[in-house]
Amino acid sequence: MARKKLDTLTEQMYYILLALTEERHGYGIMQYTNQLTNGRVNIGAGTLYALLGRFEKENLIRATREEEKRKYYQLTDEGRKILEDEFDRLHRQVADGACVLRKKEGKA
Amino acid sequence: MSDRKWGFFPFDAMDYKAAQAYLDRKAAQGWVLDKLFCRYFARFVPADGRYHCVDIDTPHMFEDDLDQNYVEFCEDAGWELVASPRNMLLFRSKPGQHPAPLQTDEGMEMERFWKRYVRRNLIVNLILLLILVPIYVLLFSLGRGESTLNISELLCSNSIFLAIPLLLFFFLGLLRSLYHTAAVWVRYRRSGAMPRSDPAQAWLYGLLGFVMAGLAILWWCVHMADGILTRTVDVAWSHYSDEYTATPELCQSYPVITAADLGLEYSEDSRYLTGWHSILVDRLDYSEIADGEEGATHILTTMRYECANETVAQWMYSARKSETARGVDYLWGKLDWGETTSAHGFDQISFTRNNSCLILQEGDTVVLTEATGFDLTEYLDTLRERLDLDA
Repeated sequence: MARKKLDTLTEQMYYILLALTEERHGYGIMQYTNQLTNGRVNIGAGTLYALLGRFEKENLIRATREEEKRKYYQLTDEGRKILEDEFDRLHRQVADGACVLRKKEGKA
Repeated sequence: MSDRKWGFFPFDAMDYKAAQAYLDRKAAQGWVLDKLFCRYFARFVPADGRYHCVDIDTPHMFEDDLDQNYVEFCEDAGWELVASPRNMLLFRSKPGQHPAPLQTDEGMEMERFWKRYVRRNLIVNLILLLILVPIYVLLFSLGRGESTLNISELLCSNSIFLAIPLLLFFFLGLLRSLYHTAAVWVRYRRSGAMPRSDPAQAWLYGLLGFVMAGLAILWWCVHMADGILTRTVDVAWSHYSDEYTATPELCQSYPVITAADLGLEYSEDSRYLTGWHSILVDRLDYSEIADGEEGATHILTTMRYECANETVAQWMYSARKSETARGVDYLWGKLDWGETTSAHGFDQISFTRNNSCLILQEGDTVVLTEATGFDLTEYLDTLRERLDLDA
């Protein structure tokens, strides 16, 4: 049942998984997301900690190593699939939106 | 601007948003939390541009048993942990850093708050209430009927005396907590968002917890001291050596009835004399087995209570009479008391049917004395003199 909850990712979940296409530690994920979105998306340490625990439990990410008390993570194959599925879903959503909105704008 | 400022921080985890608002106000005034003393007293130091974040802690058995991985994780993100009182984690931003709030997903935050704190709090409170209510019912029903509830012990013990307000506050605190938790839940169901606590209510709720904690500590200290620091006399076979200390001479220097007062012989070592004091009563217990004529033995007992005032003495008189009639806190069995009168120049006096035992109240003093085989009505002048009672 827990797996079912992740069929649709929240924005913060999406960016965490996106950041973990490369090996990163917690603070690295926060920095990467902030830079990638030009400060639009900020992930709080509490939220990130809880989500990393949840993703790891559901085998979407795995801990790769620990260095200077920092734990590094990376996507698993299953995590990559979830991320790709979400990307496709978002892409289709944007495409559908463009189809309707831009078409209307064109008529106007 | 001074370099330190103090504040009272009574907030409970249930009101962690009110705690956050309080710390936000301090930060806006240029003060950052430096340390929390005794879990309630916050010390602030000047710091521009720094701010706070209050988070809910994971449930754990002991106060200091924190999730260190989480603390380090937050540290890495720019948050320093200052204190962890009452299931809360109080963070402050590191100098020169501007970290995002710890919780940036409101849905997850509410789920976490509900699972980690509210639900657990409800369950614990309900269990405590289920335990406490039968205890109360038992105590009070026993107090009304034939019981072993010892009112005189209550008056003679500081710790039991203090336990009454402690239990009352505890009970009120539980009811308050249950009401508060239910109210938060209802507000959450209505608004679908994290409920913001009323600051004044949150402060008062915290204050109640503070008073309860203070009373609990006071009770514990008094309880530990009871019977040690409050002991005024303790002679018999010493607890610390084999030496027998309750000599006839020493016992006679106290206002108790001893063998010599009734013309009996002292036995070698069958005496003890103990005494201790409480806020309301100074108590003295004496007992001995004395040798009489033709091999007879007599048990002599004196229980003397110097009360804080006459009203307490009247309570003590009634309590001791009723308790000893049931054999409570009296070594030699149940006593068969007659009517209470104000005869013989005492405020109250009563004899057992065979007159070998009497209980009297004179001013703020209550004395219960027994001399088996004697008719104490014949020794009233001796008693008055030896018990140091004003006529």
